[in-house]
Amino acid sequence: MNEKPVLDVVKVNDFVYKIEPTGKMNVPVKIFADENLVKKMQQDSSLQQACNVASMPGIVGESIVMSDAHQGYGYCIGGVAAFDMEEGIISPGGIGFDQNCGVRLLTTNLTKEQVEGKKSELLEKIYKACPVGVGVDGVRITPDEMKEVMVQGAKWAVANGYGSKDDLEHCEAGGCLPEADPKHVPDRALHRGKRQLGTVGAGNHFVELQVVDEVYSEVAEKFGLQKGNVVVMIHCGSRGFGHQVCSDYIRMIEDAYPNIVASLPDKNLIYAPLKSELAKKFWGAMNAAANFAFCNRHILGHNVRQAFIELFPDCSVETVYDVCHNIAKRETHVVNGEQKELMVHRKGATRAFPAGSEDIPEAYRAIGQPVLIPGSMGTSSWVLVGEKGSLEQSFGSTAHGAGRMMSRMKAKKDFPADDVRADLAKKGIQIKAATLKGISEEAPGAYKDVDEVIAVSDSAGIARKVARLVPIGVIKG
Amino acid sequence: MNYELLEHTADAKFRAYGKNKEAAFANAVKGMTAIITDPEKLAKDREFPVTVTADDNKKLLFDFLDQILFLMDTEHFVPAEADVRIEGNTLTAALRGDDVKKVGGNLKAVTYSEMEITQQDGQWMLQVVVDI
Repeated sequence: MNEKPVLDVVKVNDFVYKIEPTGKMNVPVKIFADENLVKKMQQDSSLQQACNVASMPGIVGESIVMSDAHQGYGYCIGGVAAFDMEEGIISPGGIGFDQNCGVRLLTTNLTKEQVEGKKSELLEKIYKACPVGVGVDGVRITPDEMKEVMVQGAKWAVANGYGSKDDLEHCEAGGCLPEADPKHVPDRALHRGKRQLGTVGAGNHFVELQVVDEVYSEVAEKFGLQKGNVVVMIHCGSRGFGHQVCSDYIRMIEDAYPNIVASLPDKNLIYAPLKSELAKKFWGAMNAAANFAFCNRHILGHNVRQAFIELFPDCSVETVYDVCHNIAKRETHVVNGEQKELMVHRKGATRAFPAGSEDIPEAYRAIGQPVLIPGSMGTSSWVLVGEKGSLEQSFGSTAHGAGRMMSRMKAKKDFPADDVRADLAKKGIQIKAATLKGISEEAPGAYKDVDEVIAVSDSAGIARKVARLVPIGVIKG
Repeated sequence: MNYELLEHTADAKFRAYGKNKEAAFANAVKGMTAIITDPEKLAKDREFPVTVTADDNKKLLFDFLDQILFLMDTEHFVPAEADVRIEGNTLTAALRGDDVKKVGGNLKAVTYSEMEITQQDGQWMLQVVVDI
């Protein structure tokens, strides 16, 4: 291993730290963390990776590290970087291989007590309706339908009998990004994705039955969250489709710009200048992958709803919101007092726009955007609401999860699946997983404390606590 | 040693070794499979040919392993072993393995992060981080 250079991390206040630019860095690094979390970040390469991002061309403001950040490949996971549209870049690795990985939250009008008696049956039904793990097939679609999915996103699902328009109105971007261009999607991505629409995947992706455990503001009611009621959280993305778009474009950019590659401290930072043809093509392909992901979560949401209705015929299941946490977006932000269009990369970061933003669905415009943050398996997840401070401090972004702190290898050794399952059972959490190792690798002890991650976001004024959700049933790969 | 798994906070890292480039690339197949299962315990009754061409070793390694992930999703195939031939810029391999449904565990993508290819005293070493 290379020796880690010592970075000069300076405390700004109890929740914000900073690294001033040195060497090739164009901008400072800003870190959202308390003392404990910043210490954990210093144990891996997260902050060095953020410094590398700060040295990329056209970066504006600061290279931002969220409170859940951990080391990634090239970029840290839990990072935000905004680039000038003229001088800046777009980077597949700065978005993540799982393009538009994200979270959808559904509410029900059922209480925990109503669901408990039928929980096993319900989990069984959802497990069948939402395929998890590898080698499982989702909705069968023709190549022509795949094209429609890429252009229409979740709208395709509604037009084909899955869910409702009301679901669409409660999604980031209405579940459809308009600049998708199927002709720039590599064939290999189409092949990889064609059997995967309506599937969850493996790793940290899941469908979870949760209960609203605590509410922190009157906003909860406006989001449809009532203490004691059951909700469902879906965490997944664009599956093999998005991974292949990312991999293929990394190789295309590499072949087109050997000089850029040679200048990088880590090849996974590879980027295309925003003005280039290749950047435009990647943009069209990335948006297509994002639409595939929106459609994927939408179909899963529909299938979850059907499972509930089979067991509780009179229940209502509504979509609260659907957020992306691996994405690049063209957004306008105020930089040095001026409105400026930027390419905002969020890799493991969630948009957190405040009340009044036109990019929030009408239902929430006066309240602020719902921010959905999944915890690790068996611990709490959170709903926050975007606050004004996010636009001033973090290009309208906040954290996206608990953040790993232990390798999967070590987790497998330290947390035998049977122990994890027994511990969860003691807390009243039933788990249905495709593999035992999935249970070990995602054990709660392998993650940071999500409550601490959220407290930073709340205290820094970028997204405020609305409700805490605790799991009662987990379905995973 | 043919391969070993290494610690990585969020993803998975492995090293593969070989007395020549072909052997190291063949062991990289085992190393990547080892992230999700013991390759020695897999059946070898499914076979897929792979051909990739790239103008340097890292690109060749990336493309080779990427093609395996492609087969995992499209053919539900997981390789247990590989015969590898490399001539000039072109790698040709015969992969033998099993149905991925039997093992579970997902590999999302090959990355260039921390990728290393070294050759010292007649021993090749390949290091790869895989996004999982």
